[in-house]
Amino acid sequence: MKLRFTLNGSAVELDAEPWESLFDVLRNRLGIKSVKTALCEGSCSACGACTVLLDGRPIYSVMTPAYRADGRSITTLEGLSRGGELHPLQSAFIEAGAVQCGFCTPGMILAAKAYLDGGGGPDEGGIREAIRGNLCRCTGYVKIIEAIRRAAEALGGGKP
Amino acid sequence: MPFRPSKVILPATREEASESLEALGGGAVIIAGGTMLFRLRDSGLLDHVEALVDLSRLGLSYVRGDAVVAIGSYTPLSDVYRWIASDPRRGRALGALADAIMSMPGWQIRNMATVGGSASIGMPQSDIATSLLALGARARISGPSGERVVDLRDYMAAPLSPSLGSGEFLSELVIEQPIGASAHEKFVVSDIDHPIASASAHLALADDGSVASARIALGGGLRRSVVLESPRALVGRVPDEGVLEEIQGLARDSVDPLDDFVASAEYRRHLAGVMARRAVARAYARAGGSAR
Repeated sequence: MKLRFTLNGSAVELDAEPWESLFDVLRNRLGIKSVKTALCEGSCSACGACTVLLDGRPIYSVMTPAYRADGRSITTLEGLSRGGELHPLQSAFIEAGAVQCGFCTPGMILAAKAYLDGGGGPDEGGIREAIRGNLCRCTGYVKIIEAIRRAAEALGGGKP
Repeated sequence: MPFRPSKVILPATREEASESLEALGGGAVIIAGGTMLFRLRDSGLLDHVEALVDLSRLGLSYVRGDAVVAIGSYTPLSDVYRWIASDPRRGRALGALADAIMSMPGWQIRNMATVGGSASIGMPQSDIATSLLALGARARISGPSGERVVDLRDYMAAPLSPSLGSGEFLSELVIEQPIGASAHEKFVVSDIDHPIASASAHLALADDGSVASARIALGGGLRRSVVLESPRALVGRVPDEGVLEEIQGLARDSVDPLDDFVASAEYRRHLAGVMARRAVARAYARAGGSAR
């Protein structure tokens, strides 16, 4: 099927097969390397490494048929910086030391972006729920939560 | 031959959807959120599939109503949750469904999985299905000869094979008179696992604070879901510790649990009782009742 969608602000047009996932298309055909798989064998274990934003909402790209992207807008980590400037979440992850091996980081940042874009604030409960669909096996989450809190404060989110 | 459907059909009307399903017969599967389908992509179970019939363009993503709540089958769980959470009365009456949605591990799943898909999987492990059973949900089914409405229990005939005739598909879940309060409880080893045991309870209270009517649904690792309609142990009574003890025993005796490497049948049976007890206590508190 012919698909047309927006990927990180640019128009994309390609042919996808009915059985291809959005992950297959993004990583294997469009070279989007921030999107990863980890615990998928046999079944999805909700690790969150394949997270992308579909019209601003976080989804798992391995479980989404590629054709569902048609006419929609996809954001991956590659689409966050602007003119060489990091997104406040990216800066906060560096400043807070929230990255160890880095495997979960793209998914974490996208889940956090959807949370902050939706008006989420610096409260720990909200942040924890926002990244519940993303596993990290290095950090123990403490510094990730701290990074998202810093970004929330920098962006002034969660205030009436 | 692996999962290699040759086409995706995106009907624009219900008539087209039914015609496609009828024409393709057993070679077609209905795709809603796609989470189960793409999870099973490499399992071998879907290798016979020739075409996906996709419900995304039928206008079936909505939640509306007051005396009768109608949820389009293609509505993502996240939208259902936001609709319930936006109104305290809905939050009480439909609390079991909101609890079940928030028990799913993360917004990614809630943004993808749909209410209709969860009901159609027909597995007692589904928290969404268990909560809908406690809420007495009915399934509106569209087909070549119009619509019919059946109890969700009857629709959920067997795992992955809901009770649908040729050309039929689930278009809507209907919850009539969502009054009182409901709650869902589950026991899981980790966030991503199926529940070992789960229970949803829906209670309507009389003016004196006693239970006027109740429906308890039991799920998790069971051979089939169980629905207890207004159990005598509960109706006309206030769920104090003694009554909750009776409910726990009733639930324990009502289930046919699985016995596998995750948990023994005996353990699942025990937990079915505990979850039922917790769900009733939580629904009662949510309804504003006090057993003290």
